[in-house]
Amino acid sequence: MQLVDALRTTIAATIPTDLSTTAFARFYNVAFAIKVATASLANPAFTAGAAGVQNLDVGTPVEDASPLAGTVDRIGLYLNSTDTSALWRILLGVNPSGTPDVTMANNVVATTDTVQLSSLAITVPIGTLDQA
Amino acid sequence: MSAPTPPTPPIPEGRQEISVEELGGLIKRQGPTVAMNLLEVHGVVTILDKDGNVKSKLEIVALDPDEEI
Repeated sequence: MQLVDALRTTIAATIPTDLSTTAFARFYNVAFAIKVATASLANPAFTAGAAGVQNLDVGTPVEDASPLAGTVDRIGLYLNSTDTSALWRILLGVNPSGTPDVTMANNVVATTDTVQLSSLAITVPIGTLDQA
Repeated sequence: MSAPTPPTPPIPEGRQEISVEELGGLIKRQGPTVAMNLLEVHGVVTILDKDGNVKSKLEIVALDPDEEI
């Protein structure tokens, strides 16, 4: 089944509408055990969607300039200031050591760093045509 | 005078009709359970040092399939 862009956009728009003025992005270690940083989201959190894609509004940086020291490996999007109000939990492509041998990212955060959610796009795939 | 609306084709056996509103509600209620199979996420987390220089760029790769909300 393939979806037309208008339908994809409608579906995508249902996803972030719960994220209002009190919503947050939180940055965690691999086990969601340590909250390294917290950043408020814009209201609304996402810009107007098009072609099945919703983009996070980062016109005002979504960032924490006073993080805890730690490693960042996961993000959660939260409905409000309550830690149990997660709407989405997202994995980062982090591999700071081990395999592969070439390390491409350092996810260790110092207290003097700024942690920023620079972009986030949620896409409803177009799908594939049914077989005749 | 507008053209007559063509008849709605029957729903194939084994499939269920669902409205956009119902689908939206399902996504909201089920969250990642549905979204993992349906949605794609892309993005970047940037870590800046105290001077504002980019220290790291971490790619967002997926919704977390292992975590229950």
